[in-house]
Amino acid sequence: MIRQVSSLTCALTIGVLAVALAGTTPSLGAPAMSEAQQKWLLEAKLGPHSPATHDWAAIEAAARKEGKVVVYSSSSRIPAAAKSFEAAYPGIKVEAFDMGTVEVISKVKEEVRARVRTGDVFFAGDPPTVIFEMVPRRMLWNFVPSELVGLIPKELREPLLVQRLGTRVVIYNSEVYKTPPITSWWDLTKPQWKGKVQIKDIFESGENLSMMATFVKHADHFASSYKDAFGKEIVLDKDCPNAAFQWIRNFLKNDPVFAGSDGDATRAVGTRGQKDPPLATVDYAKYRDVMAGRFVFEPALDIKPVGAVFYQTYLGIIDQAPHPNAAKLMIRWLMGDSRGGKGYEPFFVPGDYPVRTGMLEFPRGAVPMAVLKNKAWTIDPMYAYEHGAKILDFWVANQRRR
Amino acid sequence: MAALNPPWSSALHPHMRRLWRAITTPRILLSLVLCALLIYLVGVPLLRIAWATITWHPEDARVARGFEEGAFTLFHWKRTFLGTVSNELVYRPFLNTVVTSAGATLMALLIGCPLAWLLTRTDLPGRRLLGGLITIPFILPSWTIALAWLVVFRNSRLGGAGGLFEYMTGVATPNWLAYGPVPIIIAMGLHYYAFTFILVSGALASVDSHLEESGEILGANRWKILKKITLPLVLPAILSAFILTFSRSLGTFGTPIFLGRPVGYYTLATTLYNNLRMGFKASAYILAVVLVVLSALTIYGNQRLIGTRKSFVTISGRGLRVRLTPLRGWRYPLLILVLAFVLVCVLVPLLLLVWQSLMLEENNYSLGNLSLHYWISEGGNRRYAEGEAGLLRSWLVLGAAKNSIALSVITAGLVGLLGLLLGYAIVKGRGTRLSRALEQISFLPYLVPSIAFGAVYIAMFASPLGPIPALYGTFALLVLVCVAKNLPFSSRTGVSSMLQVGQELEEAAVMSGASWTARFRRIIVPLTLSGFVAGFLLTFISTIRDLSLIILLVTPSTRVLPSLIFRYNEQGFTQFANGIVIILVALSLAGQWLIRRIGKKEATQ
Repeated sequence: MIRQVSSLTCALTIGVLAVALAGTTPSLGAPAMSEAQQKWLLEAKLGPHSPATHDWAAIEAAARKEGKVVVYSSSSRIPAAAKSFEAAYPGIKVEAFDMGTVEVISKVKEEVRARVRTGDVFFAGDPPTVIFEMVPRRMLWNFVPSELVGLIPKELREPLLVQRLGTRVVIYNSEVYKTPPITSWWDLTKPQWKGKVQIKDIFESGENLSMMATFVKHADHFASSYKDAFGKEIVLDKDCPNAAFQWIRNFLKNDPVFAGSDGDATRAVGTRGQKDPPLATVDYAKYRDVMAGRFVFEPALDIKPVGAVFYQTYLGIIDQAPHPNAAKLMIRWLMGDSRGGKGYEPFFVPGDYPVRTGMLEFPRGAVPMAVLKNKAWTIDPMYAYEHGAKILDFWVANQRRR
Repeated sequence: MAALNPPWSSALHPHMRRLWRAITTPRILLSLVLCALLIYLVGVPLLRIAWATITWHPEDARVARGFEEGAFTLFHWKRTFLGTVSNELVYRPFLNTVVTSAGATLMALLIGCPLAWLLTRTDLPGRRLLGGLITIPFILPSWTIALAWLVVFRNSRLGGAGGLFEYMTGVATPNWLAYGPVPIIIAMGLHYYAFTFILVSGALASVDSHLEESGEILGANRWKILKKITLPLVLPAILSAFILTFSRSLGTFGTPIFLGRPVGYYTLATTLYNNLRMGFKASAYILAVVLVVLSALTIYGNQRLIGTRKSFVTISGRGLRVRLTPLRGWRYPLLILVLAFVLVCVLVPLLLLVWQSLMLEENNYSLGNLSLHYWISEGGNRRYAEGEAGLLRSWLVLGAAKNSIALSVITAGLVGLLGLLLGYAIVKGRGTRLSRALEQISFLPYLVPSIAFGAVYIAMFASPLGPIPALYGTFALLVLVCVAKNLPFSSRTGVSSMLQVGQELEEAAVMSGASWTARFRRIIVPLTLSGFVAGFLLTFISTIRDLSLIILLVTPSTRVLPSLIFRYNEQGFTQFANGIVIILVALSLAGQWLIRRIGKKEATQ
């Protein structure tokens, strides 16, 4: 089998060049609107053709004709919402895929570029990529049910509708520790937590990357909280532009564990009967595992300089979706109503915060928004987009990979 | 040969007519079509990926400003090889890849070669049965052992309770034993030894005992005979095994991601995966190019090293006789040793995975904790796996199983057929340039490590190409990549089984006026059926368990069992993941058994 290689290159080049060059110009997402796109927007009444108020009876009739809606979601809770939707609108089938943010984004990008029209509803986070790559390239279209316009602050419905705010927090095992064992993010860089902090590698998690970008944006807070933690002024390494970069370096030096997923990290912290459990940075919404009796953990919300970082989870209609009306119905369903609502129910959990005003109830178990707001930062998509690559490179370069 | 003469042929120049007749000859026409197909499936994607590393992509807006999409640039190569991230992006993963692949290959040789000798050249009792058992790891996914390893050796670094080892001894497993290069090498070595075993025992079986006996007559002792006669004769096979195993392990994804990630130990394959997932396409493609070059260099080096000494004529006429070396007093101790090995490396990992899938609470090894919950529950209790339904009730698992079966059967059928056609075109055209070219190109997929192949196919089929629509996210794309990757093996099988069909049979049929299709259908296919079945089986097995090749290409609607195992593992639903491994193994064994049976029945009809 091995002898064949020698004149392989020769054999290869015979016909390859001709065939290859015919198709090598990569087709990139063109900024100009195509005719098909314009036609679809007109028919779907989206983008520039969006009416001021929605005629839901007409949308529902059209959706029934479409018969189906395909949702790409980053949440494992989407099957429950799909089930209730199907019960509410018999005759409209839901294909709901739970994939994780990175997959949802790469799938939608590839499909739009490949002109494969399968997906209807985009339902995921990663603000910088969504707002600065996908929306400007017209891969996603905004749809805000008209009755919600007055109930949602503008920055949470433009340029793309936010369904809920997720929250990144540090959690600890509450069976072993009766009170939070840390008081600062800087504690995670101390020897006692060496090899004992679980985090999804930011190389694999857009949320964590954006969280780091938010830290960098508020670097001066990291500088002052250093003093609180160590009792002296911070001295920056030469190649660390600010205290947040220094924190990243020290944190990575302390050998964090790269978990496969938030679920893995939660399990690592929250499993009962441990002697020396680790800490982890995960989604506050994982607190539902505590409510269900699966794990035992609590979030450390009073740590310095910040107790939590909010990030946006978006809902949008994928460009030239084959079932735009069913997609509209689905988006309204997922936004819920003033009491939560069936479609929002799976997301009505502690740690996830609805964006609409006038909600009559809040999920029990978590700290109310009014309280948490004062201890949290929100991801700034613009800042994260502009600084993300630099932070990622810094992260990669400082990882002590073996 | 029955060539067509177009009705207007009389008007043509004789040269043109000859050319026309030549290319309408079935063999040549077939060769040309196959050549074009192979170039399209392998050559074009490789060029496209190389092209993608020197152009700007929309995603690059995160790392650079002011570029024109699609324009030429060396930015990516500079960033990858000379930037601040180079060390972690390419150099260290490169080193890790070489270390783990070489380590695993060495281990595979150290286990595979002695086993091959014991089972083909000695009078060890129960050799046939043992031979069957010993090759089982080859039909399991290569990362089965990695998952079983975690069941035993995981420690609190991954969180939760420790594994079986910690449960039994109370001693925490040290990190170096639980994760990183040591377990990766062991887990891959324990998979690939079966590959070495198959290759080397084939070579050993064809070494004529006359040569060894001559040595004995001349007064050499057994050790000297082994060293001076047997070993040199099989050395080329051993070297080939080394190279083939090495280049296979380069592109292995599952084992290094399961065992390496917890300690940040990344290989080229896992780094490539991370880059592509985060949308850093150009970096990912560059890593794919690095893998292809590394693999090609290895094979080229091997060829320079053994070159013409690739094989010796040891089979002379009908005189092949294999005399078995008597083990005498060592027979039973060695038998026990081999049995123990099979037990520890084949049965124990599978049993561990079964056991683990039956544990209601994780890592609680008491009998009271055993439950069929993860297999048959209706779900709904959020305490266990977020309330997902049991494996045998889950539409996800059933759908993936259906996809897995469809993918491996369709792929194996296509590959088997293509293998026969390739074999026919190559053998009938022996000596011609076209035949040589065809044989060489069909070997090309071997040079491309699995994960790189997946990356190549994303670059190739993400957008429409001429009349071919974009295949992103389709089942067809999975079939295509599996067909292309498996061609080197099936064309080998095709060639060897075609060589056994005498020329005169087909000639006789030509004389009696049979068309080419009739000849192919009624003579070639029946006579080479066993070769077809062998090729089918090989492809079936390697497709149903594959993760490295398809991990970048599967989407939720085209999920297969291995990708589902990967997903469940990421989510921390280990019972589910391990349970699906068992389902996968069962499907693979059942499939094999069925194919063998059908093949036998067809052949005897």
